[in-house]
Amino acid sequence: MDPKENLIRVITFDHPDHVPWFLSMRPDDPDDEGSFQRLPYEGAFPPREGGRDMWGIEWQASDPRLMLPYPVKHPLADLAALDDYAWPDPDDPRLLEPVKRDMHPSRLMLGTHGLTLMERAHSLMGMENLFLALMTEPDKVKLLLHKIADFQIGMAEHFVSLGVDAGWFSDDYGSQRSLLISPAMFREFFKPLLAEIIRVYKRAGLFFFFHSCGHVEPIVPDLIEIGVDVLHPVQKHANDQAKLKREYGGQIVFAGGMDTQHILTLGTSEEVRTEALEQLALLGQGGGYIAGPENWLPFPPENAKAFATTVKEYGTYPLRSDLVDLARQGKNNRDAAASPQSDLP
Amino acid sequence: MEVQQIYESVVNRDAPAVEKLVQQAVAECVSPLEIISEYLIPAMTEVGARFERGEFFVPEMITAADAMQAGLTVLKPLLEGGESRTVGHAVIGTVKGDIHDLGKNLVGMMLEGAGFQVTDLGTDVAPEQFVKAVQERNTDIVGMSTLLTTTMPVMANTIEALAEAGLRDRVKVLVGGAPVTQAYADEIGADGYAPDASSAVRKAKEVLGIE
Repeated sequence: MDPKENLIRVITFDHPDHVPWFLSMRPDDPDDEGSFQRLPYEGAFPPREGGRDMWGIEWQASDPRLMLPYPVKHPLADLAALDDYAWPDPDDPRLLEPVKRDMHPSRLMLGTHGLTLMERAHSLMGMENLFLALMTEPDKVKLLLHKIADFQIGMAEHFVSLGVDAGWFSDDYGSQRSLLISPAMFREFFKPLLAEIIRVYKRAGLFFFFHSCGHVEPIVPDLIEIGVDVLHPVQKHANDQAKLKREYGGQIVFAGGMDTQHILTLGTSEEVRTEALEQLALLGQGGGYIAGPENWLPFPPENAKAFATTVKEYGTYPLRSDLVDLARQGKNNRDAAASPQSDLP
Repeated sequence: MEVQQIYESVVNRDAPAVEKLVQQAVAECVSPLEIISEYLIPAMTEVGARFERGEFFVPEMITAADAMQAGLTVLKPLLEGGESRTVGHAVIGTVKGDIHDLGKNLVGMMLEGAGFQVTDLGTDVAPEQFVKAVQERNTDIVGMSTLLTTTMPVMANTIEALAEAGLRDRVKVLVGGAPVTQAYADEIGADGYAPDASSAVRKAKEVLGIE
């Protein structure tokens, strides 16, 4: 089945042919199935080479193998500057040039908002400044968030006009062990505005992908409520994946889930194979799963291949009922190979 | 005034109230050391407990630390030269190759809240910078943080660098961060691991053998 059509069937819980998979999500990645593409507007993500972006944030380039550059100057470190801040114009046609250049209907096209609301706010203010201001200057923070949301709504409307199939947010609300802010604070400050932006896509009958690193369990019902179809990346060691599948598996699709903190990055290709089999069994049963790494780190090419090969080989529906046994066999074989030889008489 | 209100105001993250109450307590001849050890530090311990229980999150931690600092700012000039409230000195940093600092900063706040003096080396800290910091002053704890699997090995490199400089036995090394585990801490010969800022304080006291 065509990968894009299959992906749509996964998202709509409509008898998909197989578990889709992704790796880097880049169109030139040979190990990525390529069923969807992210299409960020100009300035959605920080400039990899560093420098000052359209938001007035200054970025320092980081190790290019790693994720993103980091901010070294924040134009709204003091919210007193908010009244005079020059907002980027969502109607500036230059912002959509990379989208128009790269979009292709052979893949599910995701209008990509990059750093969306929480992330955009703390890239403008500085992370600790934002967290402090949420408590000490809530009204000013709400004003800032409204302004950001207005911009993102403008971009969403342009994305829909261009004919994308879905939207994508990159907005981290979780740390390794908990949410960064309380659920109550999320619901007061962020949820209504996220809902407004997502509504632009839902009114047009489109899908929605939501990325948040870290522990997100407490707000999964909220995300379902505001129209999120696909949750990414469902980090393995930050969430109880089995619980999420059990409680929400029929209402939202999980994308990612494969251990990158340890296995994909540091493991052997055999360990990657075992991990892929286990995740297919845990998250893939009954549909509702798009297999992929739980984050972007440089992993060895043989591990990328092992992951893609395993999902291709074992991800066709109906899934085999012995995936866990196969995974266990792999583990047992490795343990046996690693055991010291017994002394023979 | 009820001196207990100082404790409550820190837990309630009310920095102006803490400042005012501490000034009043001083005016009523409550000793600075008593204010710190009986009210400010126990308040931060309670803040840490609420964080571990999932009742407090990052904004609450930061504002609680600010509230405690508001009290300390009043008291610092009043502490006699010989008086010390320091339970130990910690050097902390995010290791070379990584710029994430939120977790490390929370650890720093909680260590200060528990009475440690903290030297924060910032982010992207090379092993030799940790060594230099330990050489420059009496250090009890070296705390290393990273968010990235790919920079975890720098923690091992730093422990080796401390050993090569003849300093390994003089300090206790604690490690933490999203991909870090107890197993990894054991593998590289760290003295301890903690999953969050509040338990990091308990671990620091435990490895130093203090209450």
